[in-house]
Amino acid sequence: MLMSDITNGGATPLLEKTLAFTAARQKMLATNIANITTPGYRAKQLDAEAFQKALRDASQKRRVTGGSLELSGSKEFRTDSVGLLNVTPSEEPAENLLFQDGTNARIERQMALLAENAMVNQAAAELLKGAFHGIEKAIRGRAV
Amino acid sequence: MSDTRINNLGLPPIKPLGSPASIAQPTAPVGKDFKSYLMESLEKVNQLQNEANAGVERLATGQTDNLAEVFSATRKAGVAFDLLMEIRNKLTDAYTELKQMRV
Amino acid sequence: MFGALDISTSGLVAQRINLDTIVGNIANMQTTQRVDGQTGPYLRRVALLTSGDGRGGDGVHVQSVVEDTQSKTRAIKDPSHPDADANGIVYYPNIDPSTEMVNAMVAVRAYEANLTAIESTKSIVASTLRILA
Repeated sequence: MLMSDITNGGATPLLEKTLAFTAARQKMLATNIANITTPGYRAKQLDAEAFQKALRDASQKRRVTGGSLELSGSKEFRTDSVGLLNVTPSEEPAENLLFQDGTNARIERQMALLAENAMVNQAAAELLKGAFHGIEKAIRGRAV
Repeated sequence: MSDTRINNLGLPPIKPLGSPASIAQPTAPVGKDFKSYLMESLEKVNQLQNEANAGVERLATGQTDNLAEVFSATRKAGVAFDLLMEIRNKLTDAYTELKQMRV
Repeated sequence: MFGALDISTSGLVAQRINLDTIVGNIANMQTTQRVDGQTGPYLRRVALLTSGDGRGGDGVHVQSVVEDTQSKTRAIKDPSHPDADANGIVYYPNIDPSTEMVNAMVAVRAYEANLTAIESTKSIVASTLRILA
Protein backbone atom coordinates (compact mmCIF):
# COMPACT_ATOMS: atom_id res chain seq x y z
CA MET A 1 0.00 0.00 0.00
CA LEU A 2 2.68 2.44 1.03
CA MET A 3 4.86 1.72 -1.99
CA SER A 4 2.05 2.05 -4.51
CA ASP A 5 0.71 5.17 -2.84
CA ILE A 6 4.09 6.83 -2.94
CA THR A 7 4.72 6.16 -6.62
CA ASN A 8 1.14 6.36 -7.90
CA GLY A 9 -0.32 9.03 -5.71
CA GLY A 10 -1.59 12.41 -6.75
CA ALA A 11 -0.86 13.82 -10.14
CA THR A 12 2.15 11.60 -10.98
CA PRO A 13 0.24 9.00 -13.07
CA LEU A 14 -1.44 11.79 -15.05
CA LEU A 15 1.94 13.24 -15.92
CA GLU A 16 3.22 9.82 -16.96
CA LYS A 17 0.27 9.28 -19.27
CA THR A 18 0.79 12.74 -20.75
CA LEU A 19 4.40 11.84 -21.56
CA ALA A 20 3.24 8.61 -23.23
CA PHE A 21 0.74 10.63 -25.24
CA THR A 22 3.33 13.13 -26.47
CA ALA A 23 5.67 10.30 -27.50
CA ALA A 24 2.95 8.58 -29.55
CA ARG A 25 1.89 11.91 -31.05
CA GLN A 26 5.44 12.76 -32.05
CA LYS A 27 5.67 9.55 -34.08
CA MET A 28 2.36 10.31 -35.77
CA LEU A 29 3.35 13.89 -36.59
CA ALA A 30 6.65 12.62 -38.05
CA THR A 31 4.66 10.30 -40.33
CA ASN A 32 2.40 13.15 -41.47
CA ILE A 33 5.39 15.35 -42.23
CA ALA A 34 7.28 12.60 -44.06
CA ASN A 35 4.22 12.11 -46.28
CA ILE A 36 3.51 15.78 -46.87
CA THR A 37 4.03 15.41 -50.65
CA THR A 38 2.73 11.86 -51.01
CA PRO A 39 -0.24 11.90 -53.39
CA GLY A 40 -3.51 10.75 -51.86
CA TYR A 41 -2.19 10.63 -48.28
CA ARG A 42 -4.64 11.55 -45.53
CA ALA A 43 -3.08 12.95 -42.35
CA LYS A 44 -3.67 11.20 -39.03
CA GLN A 45 -4.37 13.03 -35.81
CA LEU A 46 -4.29 12.48 -32.07
CA ASP A 47 -6.50 15.13 -30.53
CA ALA A 48 -5.03 16.68 -27.40
CA GLU A 49 -8.40 17.81 -26.09
CA ALA A 50 -9.87 14.32 -26.42
CA PHE A 51 -6.88 12.93 -24.52
CA GLN A 52 -7.27 15.50 -21.74
CA LYS A 53 -10.94 14.64 -21.44
CA ALA A 54 -10.12 10.92 -21.19
CA LEU A 55 -7.58 11.82 -18.49
CA ARG A 56 -10.18 13.85 -16.62
CA ASP A 57 -12.68 10.98 -16.68
CA ALA A 58 -10.07 8.50 -15.49
CA SER A 59 -9.04 10.82 -12.65
CA GLN A 60 -12.68 11.19 -11.65
CA LYS A 61 -13.08 7.42 -11.61
CA ARG A 62 -9.96 7.03 -9.50
CA ARG A 63 -11.31 9.53 -6.98
CA VAL A 64 -14.38 7.34 -6.53
CA THR A 65 -12.95 3.83 -6.66
CA GLY A 66 -9.31 4.34 -5.68
CA GLY A 67 -6.57 2.22 -7.18
CA SER A 68 -4.45 3.14 -10.17
CA LEU A 69 -5.27 5.48 -13.03
CA GLU A 70 -7.08 3.72 -15.88
CA LEU A 71 -8.29 5.21 -19.14
CA SER A 72 -11.27 3.26 -20.44
CA GLY A 73 -13.93 5.73 -21.52
CA SER A 74 -12.66 6.66 -24.98
CA LYS A 75 -11.91 4.33 -27.88
CA GLU A 76 -8.85 6.29 -28.90
CA PHE A 77 -7.04 6.25 -25.58
CA ARG A 78 -7.00 3.19 -23.37
CA THR A 79 -4.68 1.71 -20.79
CA ASP A 80 -3.84 -1.93 -21.29
CA SER A 81 -3.52 -4.61 -18.62
CA VAL A 82 -0.03 -3.47 -17.61
CA GLY A 83 -1.13 0.15 -17.33
CA LEU A 84 0.58 1.42 -20.48
CA LEU A 85 -1.21 3.84 -22.76
CA ASN A 86 -2.52 2.59 -26.12
CA VAL A 87 -3.52 5.16 -28.72
CA THR A 88 -5.47 4.78 -31.94
CA PRO A 89 -4.94 7.71 -34.30
CA SER A 90 -7.93 8.85 -36.29
CA GLU A 91 -7.94 10.51 -39.68
CA GLU A 92 -7.84 14.25 -39.68
CA PRO A 93 -11.17 15.68 -40.88
CA ALA A 94 -11.13 16.89 -44.46
CA GLU A 95 -11.93 20.52 -43.66
CA ASN A 96 -13.52 20.86 -47.12
CA LEU A 97 -10.10 21.37 -48.59
CA LEU A 98 -8.50 18.76 -50.75
CA PHE A 99 -5.35 19.71 -52.57
CA GLN A 100 -4.72 18.88 -56.18
CA ASP A 101 -2.72 15.79 -55.34
CA GLY A 102 -5.40 14.46 -52.98
CA THR A 103 -3.67 15.26 -49.69
CA ASN A 104 -5.24 17.23 -46.87
CA ALA A 105 -2.26 17.77 -44.57
CA ARG A 106 -1.21 21.38 -44.35
CA ILE A 107 2.41 21.75 -43.52
CA GLU A 108 1.87 24.80 -41.31
CA ARG A 109 -0.56 22.97 -39.05
CA GLN A 110 1.78 20.00 -38.69
CA MET A 111 4.65 22.33 -37.77
CA ALA A 112 2.52 24.11 -35.17
CA LEU A 113 1.43 20.78 -33.66
CA LEU A 114 5.08 19.73 -33.56
CA ALA A 115 6.04 22.79 -31.53
CA GLU A 116 3.08 22.36 -29.20
CA ASN A 117 3.89 18.69 -28.64
CA ALA A 118 7.45 19.49 -27.62
CA MET A 119 6.28 22.12 -25.14
CA VAL A 120 3.69 19.86 -23.52
CA ASN A 121 6.31 17.13 -23.19
CA GLN A 122 8.78 19.46 -21.54
CA ALA A 123 6.23 20.83 -19.07
CA ALA A 124 5.09 17.34 -18.05
CA ALA A 125 8.68 16.10 -17.73
CA GLU A 126 9.67 19.03 -15.51
CA LEU A 127 6.66 18.54 -13.23
CA LEU A 128 7.36 14.82 -13.00
CA LYS A 129 10.99 15.48 -12.13
CA GLY A 130 9.85 17.88 -9.40
CA ALA A 131 7.46 15.28 -7.97
CA PHE A 132 10.16 12.59 -7.80
CA HIS A 133 12.63 15.09 -6.36
CA GLY A 134 10.20 15.98 -3.57
CA ILE A 135 9.69 12.32 -2.63
CA GLU A 136 13.43 11.69 -2.59
CA LYS A 137 13.98 14.74 -0.39
CA ALA A 138 11.43 13.50 2.11
CA ILE A 139 13.02 10.05 2.21
CA ARG A 140 16.51 11.42 2.69
CA GLY A 141 15.42 13.88 5.38
CA ARG A 142 17.78 16.51 4.08
CA ALA A 143 17.14 19.16 1.45
CA VAL A 144 20.20 18.31 -0.64
CA MET B 1 19.69 46.08 85.88
CA SER B 2 16.56 47.08 84.25
CA ASP B 3 14.96 44.64 81.80
CA THR B 4 14.99 45.95 78.33
CA ARG B 5 11.78 44.82 77.03
CA ILE B 6 12.06 43.78 73.44
CA ASN B 7 8.76 45.31 72.83
CA ASN B 8 9.97 48.76 73.51
CA LEU B 9 12.91 48.78 71.20
CA GLY B 10 10.71 50.57 68.79
CA LEU B 11 11.01 48.06 66.10
CA PRO B 12 7.90 47.50 64.20
CA PRO B 13 6.26 44.15 64.93
CA ILE B 14 6.97 41.34 62.45
CA LYS B 15 4.06 40.80 60.27
CA PRO B 16 3.29 37.24 59.21
CA LEU B 17 4.08 36.32 55.58
CA GLY B 18 1.21 36.58 53.21
CA SER B 19 -0.43 33.33 52.00
CA PRO B 20 0.96 31.82 48.78
CA ALA B 21 -2.25 32.64 46.98
CA SER B 22 -1.69 36.34 47.20
CA ILE B 23 1.73 36.22 45.57
CA ALA B 24 1.40 37.72 42.10
CA GLN B 25 1.30 35.07 39.33
CA PRO B 26 3.69 35.56 36.38
CA THR B 27 1.68 36.82 33.35
CA ALA B 28 0.76 34.16 30.73
CA PRO B 29 2.98 34.28 27.56
CA VAL B 30 1.51 36.31 24.69
CA GLY B 31 0.60 34.20 21.64
CA LYS B 32 0.51 30.41 21.14
CA ASP B 33 2.98 27.91 22.44
CA PHE B 34 5.52 26.24 20.21
CA LYS B 35 3.68 22.96 19.85
CA SER B 36 0.54 24.46 18.31
CA TYR B 37 2.73 26.61 16.05
CA LEU B 38 4.44 23.49 14.75
CA MET B 39 1.14 21.70 14.20
CA GLU B 40 -0.23 24.67 12.27
CA SER B 41 2.85 24.73 10.07
CA LEU B 42 2.39 21.04 9.31
CA GLU B 43 -1.22 21.69 8.32
CA LYS B 44 -0.19 24.58 6.08
CA VAL B 45 2.50 22.53 4.34
CA ASN B 46 -0.01 19.74 3.74
CA GLN B 47 -2.50 22.20 2.36
CA LEU B 48 0.08 23.70 -0.01
CA GLN B 49 1.00 20.22 -1.24
CA ASN B 50 -2.64 19.37 -1.90
CA GLU B 51 -3.20 22.62 -3.75
CA ALA B 52 -0.11 22.04 -5.87
CA ASN B 53 -1.26 18.50 -6.70
CA ALA B 54 -4.72 19.71 -7.65
CA GLY B 55 -3.15 22.40 -9.83
CA VAL B 56 -1.01 19.85 -11.68
CA GLU B 57 -4.07 17.68 -12.24
CA ARG B 58 -6.03 20.62 -13.65
CA LEU B 59 -3.14 21.39 -15.98
CA ALA B 60 -2.83 17.80 -17.20
CA THR B 61 -6.58 17.49 -17.85
CA GLY B 62 -6.69 20.78 -19.70
CA GLN B 63 -8.92 22.63 -17.25
CA THR B 64 -6.36 25.40 -17.00
CA ASP B 65 -3.52 26.54 -19.18
CA ASN B 66 -1.91 28.84 -16.63
CA LEU B 67 1.49 27.19 -16.60
CA ALA B 68 3.12 29.85 -14.41
CA GLU B 69 0.59 29.48 -11.62
CA VAL B 70 0.89 25.70 -11.46
CA PHE B 71 4.69 25.71 -11.50
CA SER B 72 4.81 28.45 -8.88
CA ALA B 73 2.40 26.50 -6.64
CA THR B 74 4.60 23.40 -6.83
CA ARG B 75 7.71 25.42 -6.00
CA LYS B 76 5.95 27.08 -3.06
CA ALA B 77 4.87 23.71 -1.67
CA GLY B 78 8.43 22.44 -2.09
CA VAL B 79 9.98 25.41 -0.30
CA ALA B 80 7.50 25.20 2.58
CA PHE B 81 8.27 21.50 2.94
CA ASP B 82 12.00 22.23 2.93
CA LEU B 83 11.56 24.83 5.66
CA LEU B 84 9.59 22.47 7.88
CA MET B 85 12.12 19.72 7.34
CA GLU B 86 15.02 21.99 8.27
CA ILE B 87 13.19 23.09 11.44
CA ARG B 88 12.70 19.43 12.34
CA ASN B 89 16.37 18.70 11.68
CA LYS B 90 17.51 21.62 13.83
CA LEU B 91 15.22 20.50 16.65
CA THR B 92 16.52 16.92 16.52
CA ASP B 93 20.10 18.18 16.48
CA ALA B 94 19.43 20.44 19.48
CA TYR B 95 17.77 17.59 21.34
CA THR B 96 20.68 15.26 20.65
CA GLU B 97 23.09 17.90 21.87
CA LEU B 98 21.10 18.43 25.05
CA LYS B 99 20.97 14.70 25.71
CA GLN B 100 24.72 14.48 25.55
CA MET B 101 25.27 17.32 28.00
CA ARG B 102 26.81 16.19 31.27
CA VAL B 103 24.93 17.73 34.09
CA MET C 1 10.94 7.53 -29.85
CA PHE C 2 13.45 6.24 -32.34
CA GLY C 3 10.62 5.14 -34.60
CA ALA C 4 9.87 8.83 -35.05
CA LEU C 5 13.50 9.46 -36.03
CA ASP C 6 13.42 6.68 -38.61
CA ILE C 7 10.19 8.04 -40.06
CA SER C 8 11.59 11.54 -40.43
CA THR C 9 14.77 10.14 -41.97
CA SER C 10 12.72 8.28 -44.56
CA GLY C 11 11.08 11.61 -45.37
CA LEU C 12 14.50 13.22 -45.86
CA VAL C 13 15.64 10.45 -48.19
CA ALA C 14 12.45 10.50 -50.23
CA GLN C 15 12.52 14.28 -50.66
CA ARG C 16 16.14 14.23 -51.71
CA ILE C 17 15.41 11.67 -54.42
CA ASN C 18 12.42 13.79 -55.41
CA LEU C 19 14.60 16.89 -55.67
CA ASP C 20 17.29 15.03 -57.62
CA THR C 21 14.66 13.95 -60.14
CA ILE C 22 13.35 17.49 -60.53
CA VAL C 23 16.84 18.92 -60.91
CA GLY C 24 17.57 16.29 -63.54
CA ASN C 25 14.51 17.44 -65.45
CA ILE C 26 15.60 21.06 -65.38
CA ALA C 27 19.10 20.14 -66.54
CA ASN C 28 17.74 18.10 -69.45
CA MET C 29 15.22 20.60 -70.75
CA GLN C 30 16.88 20.74 -74.15
CA THR C 31 18.06 17.15 -74.42
CA THR C 32 16.85 15.71 -77.69
CA GLN C 33 18.62 12.34 -77.45
CA ARG C 34 17.95 9.44 -75.14
CA VAL C 35 20.43 7.38 -73.16
CA ASP C 36 18.82 4.09 -74.11
CA GLY C 37 19.19 4.85 -77.79
CA GLN C 38 15.48 4.97 -78.65
CA THR C 39 14.26 7.78 -80.84
CA GLY C 40 12.69 10.74 -79.17
CA PRO C 41 13.76 13.25 -76.58
CA TYR C 42 14.52 12.94 -72.90
CA LEU C 43 11.17 12.49 -71.17
CA ARG C 44 10.25 14.20 -67.92
CA ARG C 45 10.83 11.96 -64.91
CA VAL C 46 8.64 11.77 -61.81
CA ALA C 47 9.51 10.24 -58.46
CA LEU C 48 6.51 8.28 -57.16
CA LEU C 49 6.21 8.61 -53.39
CA THR C 50 4.10 6.20 -51.36
CA SER C 51 3.49 6.04 -47.63
CA GLY C 52 5.17 3.30 -45.65
CA ASP C 53 8.88 2.72 -45.61
CA GLY C 54 8.80 -0.18 -48.03
CA ARG C 55 9.39 -2.70 -45.26
CA GLY C 56 6.07 -2.58 -43.45
CA GLY C 57 6.83 0.30 -41.13
CA ASP C 58 5.66 3.88 -41.11
CA GLY C 59 7.17 6.67 -43.14
CA VAL C 60 7.49 7.32 -46.85
CA HIS C 61 9.57 5.95 -49.69
CA VAL C 62 10.05 6.42 -53.40
CA GLN C 63 8.36 3.49 -55.08
CA SER C 64 9.97 4.17 -58.45
CA VAL C 65 11.13 6.94 -60.74
CA VAL C 66 9.03 6.74 -63.90
CA GLU C 67 8.94 8.65 -67.13
CA ASP C 68 6.02 10.93 -67.84
CA THR C 69 4.59 9.60 -71.07
CA GLN C 70 1.29 11.46 -70.71
CA SER C 71 2.22 15.08 -71.41
CA LYS C 72 3.09 16.00 -74.93
CA THR C 73 6.59 16.72 -76.13
CA ARG C 74 7.29 19.96 -77.94
CA ALA C 75 7.66 19.74 -81.67
CA ILE C 76 9.86 22.34 -83.38
CA LYS C 77 10.45 22.46 -87.10
CA ASP C 78 14.20 22.56 -87.65
CA PRO C 79 15.42 20.43 -90.58
CA SER C 80 19.07 21.36 -90.03
CA HIS C 81 19.12 19.82 -86.54
CA PRO C 82 21.03 16.52 -86.33
CA ASP C 83 18.12 14.87 -84.46
CA ALA C 84 15.42 16.03 -86.92
CA ASP C 85 13.21 13.22 -88.16
CA ALA C 86 12.17 12.63 -91.78
CA ASN C 87 9.77 15.59 -91.68
CA GLY C 88 12.33 17.97 -90.27
CA ILE C 89 10.65 18.04 -86.85
CA VAL C 90 12.78 17.99 -83.70
CA TYR C 91 11.01 16.84 -80.54
CA TYR C 92 12.03 18.55 -77.32
CA PRO C 93 11.31 17.21 -73.80
CA ASN C 94 7.93 17.72 -72.14
CA ILE C 95 9.53 19.74 -69.33
CA ASP C 96 8.01 23.07 -68.27
CA PRO C 97 10.48 25.13 -66.22
CA SER C 98 7.90 26.83 -64.02
CA THR C 99 6.32 23.52 -63.05
CA GLU C 100 9.71 22.09 -62.19
CA MET C 101 10.68 25.15 -60.15
CA VAL C 102 7.48 25.02 -58.12
CA ASN C 103 7.94 21.30 -57.52
CA ALA C 104 11.53 21.97 -56.46
CA MET C 105 10.37 24.54 -53.92
CA VAL C 106 7.80 22.11 -52.52
CA ALA C 107 10.45 19.40 -52.22
CA VAL C 108 12.87 21.74 -50.43
CA ARG C 109 10.18 22.89 -48.01
CA ALA C 110 9.19 19.30 -47.28
CA TYR C 111 12.86 18.43 -46.69
CA GLU C 112 13.20 21.29 -44.19
CA ALA C 113 9.99 20.27 -42.47
CA ASN C 114 11.41 16.79 -41.90
CA LEU C 115 14.58 18.38 -40.48
CA THR C 116 12.46 20.40 -38.04
CA ALA C 117 10.63 17.22 -37.04
CA ILE C 118 13.98 15.58 -36.24
CA GLU C 119 15.05 18.53 -34.09
CA SER C 120 11.74 18.41 -32.26
CA THR C 121 12.06 14.67 -31.63
CA LYS C 122 15.59 15.19 -30.29
CA SER C 123 14.36 17.83 -27.85
CA ILE C 124 11.58 15.55 -26.63
CA VAL C 125 14.04 12.72 -25.99
CA ALA C 126 16.35 15.15 -24.15
CA SER C 127 13.64 16.43 -21.83
CA THR C 128 12.40 12.91 -21.13
CA LEU C 129 15.95 11.84 -20.26
CA ARG C 130 16.24 14.74 -17.88
CA ILE C 131 13.72 13.06 -15.56
CA LEU C 132 16.22 10.34 -14.80
CA ALA C 133 19.16 12.65 -14.33
